[in-house]
Amino acid sequence: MKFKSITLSNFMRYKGETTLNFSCDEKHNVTVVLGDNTFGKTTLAQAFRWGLFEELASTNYAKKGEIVLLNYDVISTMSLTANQRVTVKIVVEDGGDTIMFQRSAMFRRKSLEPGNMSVTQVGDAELVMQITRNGVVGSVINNNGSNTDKNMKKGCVQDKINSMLPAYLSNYFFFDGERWSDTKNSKKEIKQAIETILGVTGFIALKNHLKDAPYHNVYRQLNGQLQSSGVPYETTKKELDDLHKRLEELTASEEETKRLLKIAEDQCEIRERRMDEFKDEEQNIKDFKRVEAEVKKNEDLMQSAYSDTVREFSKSARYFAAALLPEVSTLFEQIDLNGKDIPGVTTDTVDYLLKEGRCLCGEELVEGGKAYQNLMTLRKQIPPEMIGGAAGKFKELLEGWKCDTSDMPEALDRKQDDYDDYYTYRMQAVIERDALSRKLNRNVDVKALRRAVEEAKEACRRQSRNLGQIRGEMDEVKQRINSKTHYLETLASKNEHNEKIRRAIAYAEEIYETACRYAKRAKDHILEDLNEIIGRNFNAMFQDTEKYAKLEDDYKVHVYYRATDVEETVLSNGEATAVNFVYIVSILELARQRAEAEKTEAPEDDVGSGILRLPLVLDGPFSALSNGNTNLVAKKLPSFAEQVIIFMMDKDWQASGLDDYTGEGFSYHIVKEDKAVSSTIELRGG
Amino acid sequence: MEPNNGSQINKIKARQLYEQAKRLEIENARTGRYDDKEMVKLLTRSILKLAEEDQIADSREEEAT
Repeated sequence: MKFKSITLSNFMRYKGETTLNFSCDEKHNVTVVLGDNTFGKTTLAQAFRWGLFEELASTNYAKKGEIVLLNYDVISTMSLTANQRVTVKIVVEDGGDTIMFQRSAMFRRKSLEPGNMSVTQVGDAELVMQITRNGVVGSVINNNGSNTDKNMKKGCVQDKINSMLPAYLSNYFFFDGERWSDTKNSKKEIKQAIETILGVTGFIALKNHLKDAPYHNVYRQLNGQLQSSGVPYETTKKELDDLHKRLEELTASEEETKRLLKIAEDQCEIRERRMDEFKDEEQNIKDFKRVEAEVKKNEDLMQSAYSDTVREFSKSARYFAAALLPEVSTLFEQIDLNGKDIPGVTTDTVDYLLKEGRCLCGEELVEGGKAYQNLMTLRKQIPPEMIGGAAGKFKELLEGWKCDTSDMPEALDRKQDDYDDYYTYRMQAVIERDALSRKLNRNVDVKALRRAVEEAKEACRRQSRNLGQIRGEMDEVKQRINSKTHYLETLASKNEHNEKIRRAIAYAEEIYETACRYAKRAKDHILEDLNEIIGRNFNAMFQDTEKYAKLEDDYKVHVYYRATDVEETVLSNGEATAVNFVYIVSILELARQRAEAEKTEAPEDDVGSGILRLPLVLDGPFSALSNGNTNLVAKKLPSFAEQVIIFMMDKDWQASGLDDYTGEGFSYHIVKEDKAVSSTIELRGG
Repeated sequence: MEPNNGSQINKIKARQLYEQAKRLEIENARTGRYDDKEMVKLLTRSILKLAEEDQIADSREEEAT
């Protein structure tokens, strides 16, 4: 399928009628429209969306609900009673047919205030199509249906569009370089999109409708039409009905559990994302606690060192006293420390003898006499009491103290050093703690967030267990259904009606088997094949020697470092867009490969494979890429897609190198006067 | 599964029916026009129609011989 042309009438930036023809050539399949920002490139992309699906995408300048479709210049000339029409006409080529789709809507101005450009739509938008086949132009068909052709029911035109370009794939073939990375598609949506492009969805639906769906399926419908009589038949039929009902209940439970699981997984993802936002905060809290423990530990050690110092200091009296020991020893050398010198003689003894006037030896003591003088001299030399024993004990005591306190200075030094070390460690920890404390976000309860993540994970596990149990029972019930069905068939009587039904069942079986074969062939290896292409395209387009890209089971492309196989989780907007771009073109390339393989390998099996051959409409695809990457990416484009239509800035054109692939007469330029609100499109060089 | 009475299906017709059914499914996968119940009805009707035509053809053949 290829776009031949698009014609806009009074659509947004384009006043009056503007037509763009697109190259449908096999080799030179690129059409390019160059224009600066705000000139109207995105308007062209919007025209495709609106014309085909009556959809609009939010832009950098307006949300989709605020976008005014009618051209501002036209609005400014309108009265409040006049209506003006906006039309988008798109002509496509599809399998030899040329089909024209035209969507239009009528608008009325809401206010005449200068600068107020608000309008209101009058009635619904109208959609029509006209098919030209083998040169014969058909009648115009309205989306509301046809009175003359019963096959053309309400919605038939939109159906025709969707059969060529499914609306839910529009994000893929309308690639918006500035906004694609904002598009959040779930794994299921991406998987479905890929399977639709590769034509697998039709096979799966056929299998389900024929036999695999639990309640409504052809096989069951036909079996239900087998007629018979007799108790075993009726009993078995009832049992079979009960089993089908049970299977239906289980299927409903399965769907519900899948829904709950999806909710739980989404919740988990949301909470993990939220948790990720506070990953640094969580680490800070951990560090804060660790450092706080460090502060406390060093404070305890300081206290302990202080206590030891005080204990050592308590010995200080003894230490200083012991220092007197040498002096005391010298003094004591003059004393009979054993108390053996003139035993019992004290000053009292001498005084008594002097008072009695006679010495112990019997000599009379006369004042001034020699004996008297000798006793007076002795009195000066003897202690007032016996001191020898006491002095000896004192010396022993001092020696003991000296021994006890000999290492006190060193011990004190040591303890002081310990204390200083602990003080330093504590201060370092305090500085670190205070710095962390300033970084902590006290408005967020990270602990509660972590708890919420764990709860969400537990909910996922719970729903997964439930799903496993339900599926286990479903398998069991399906087996019983098969066995009962077989039994029922043998019970059915051979009458004409049954013969027809059995023949129909055989046909259904044959079709089912064929569908299974093709479904398996189409479905097998999607991930592997896609991965190979993605890897190759990533290398070819970005020539990144450090990183490589890989499609994982979540149907998202992840980027890893080659050296370590560690994932790069923080991609820039440009990188994210580039990766998604690789993803999309790789899907299209796989579709192209498979369609060509089917043609050459087994042409007899090609019954219309259902593989979609899509054009690519790219709005500013290179805005996030460097010139080097733009060139690498651009020159690969024409071979990936059926047709490439690019709206891009002048500055990216040279770098893209797309000139070689652009069809002659299919290179356009958007022209806009300064301060003008409307633009026009001209052929480049024309 | 073969029918109990041993009647054989026409493989070429089965193939044509398969192609027709698949096209219908592919169209529907893209457009979402019919729900599952309607699709089952459409398919059942087509298969029954083919079986009936087959049966009539067989009977005529028998009568002729």
